[in-house]
Amino acid sequence: MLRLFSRHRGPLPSRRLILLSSPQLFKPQIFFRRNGTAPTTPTPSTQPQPQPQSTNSSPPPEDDTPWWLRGPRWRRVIGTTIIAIKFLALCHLITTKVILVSLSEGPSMLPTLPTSGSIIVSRLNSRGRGIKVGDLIAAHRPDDMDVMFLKRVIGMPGDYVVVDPMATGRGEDTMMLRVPEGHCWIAGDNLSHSIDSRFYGPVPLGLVMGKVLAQYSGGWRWFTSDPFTKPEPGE
Amino acid sequence: MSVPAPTPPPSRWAFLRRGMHLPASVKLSLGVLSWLPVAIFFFDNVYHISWVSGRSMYPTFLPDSNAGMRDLILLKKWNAKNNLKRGEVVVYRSPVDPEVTAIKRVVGLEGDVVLTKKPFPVSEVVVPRNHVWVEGDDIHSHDSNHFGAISMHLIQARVTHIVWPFSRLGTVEKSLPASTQKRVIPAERQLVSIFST
Repeated sequence: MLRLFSRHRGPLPSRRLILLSSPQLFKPQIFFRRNGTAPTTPTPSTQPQPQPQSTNSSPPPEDDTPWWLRGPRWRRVIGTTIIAIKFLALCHLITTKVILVSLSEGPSMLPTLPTSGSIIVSRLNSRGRGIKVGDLIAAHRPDDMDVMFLKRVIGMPGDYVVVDPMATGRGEDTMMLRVPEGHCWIAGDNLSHSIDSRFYGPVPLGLVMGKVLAQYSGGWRWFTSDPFTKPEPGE
Repeated sequence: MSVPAPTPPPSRWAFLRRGMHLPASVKLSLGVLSWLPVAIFFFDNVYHISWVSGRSMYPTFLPDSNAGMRDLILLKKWNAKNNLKRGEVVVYRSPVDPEVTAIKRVVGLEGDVVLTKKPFPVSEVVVPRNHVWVEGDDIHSHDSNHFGAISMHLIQARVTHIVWPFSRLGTVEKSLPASTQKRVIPAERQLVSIFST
């Protein structure tokens, strides 16, 4: 910042000297001629400049300023802005195409995920690429513009799924359904507190943001696509 | 005999500030490559151009006057899903195959009643929340009459202009054909009919 907006050009003094001599950077300067007189020029230093004693002396020290902070002020500002734009675009590219770190909320996946936690989503599996039955996926809710959910894939295109496994408990008939092409059937692990495909039907694979790889809040935990893990003997 | 002044220890980040000493060709290619994420962001989120293929939008795109030439269109991706109107041409990810994109015209927005065409099992359908009903201008088009209303999230872009061929350079018409307009009862007009009776 100090270098970016100061009118000083040329090499900066070393880092230790910056602290001592920083007022020099903001030395008041007269930009405009007053009363037709010439602008005041800084008085030449009285100390004698060290003269090169011989042609074989060591080369002058290299300009240590970074390349994006060299030159006049307008070039410094534009250069820094361009670097910021490139950096933000690179971050956006990574979070949309490669990997995304995000927060998860809600009780719908309770035995698997806590009510609030942090997860890592692989965006390489977006649009349903390489998604299998049993994977945890993050996707957009089809009937809402800005809600995303985190559920488990129950059926892929062509599979037959039970629409509501809890229907028999309520005394209703269970219904089976074939997942249409290009869609997947999803459900939360905590069925009684989950809004999933039972309410809005099969989700198009184009809405899938990616596969949930791991949870890192409260200890690292990697999710495999096998949901049929055996319970512990004590449980 | 002159004693050289003690030089300060080199900074840990000096190599970053000085810049690496690389061949000019490598430096040039790195400079070009560093713009790649910016270009990808622009084409993914702001504007894109694309060729049209397929006959589903027949009188609007790829008419007979093209003589086999394909159309180049300008896609507006910024704010594509907000304030959609009936009659606008959109590009969406096919709900049948997520790797395929298709181009159709928006016929019904959420809450509209649409009288469906032949392959659809029900004759009259209410477009669900955050969904749109899309249809092609041609009779033989694979559209919502086959797979139902599509989610708004599948919409990728709006088609605003035709870029090529030059003879048809200009904006894309944003109105429904008269025969299609008769088959849609907009949500706002349904409210009016309730209060007037």
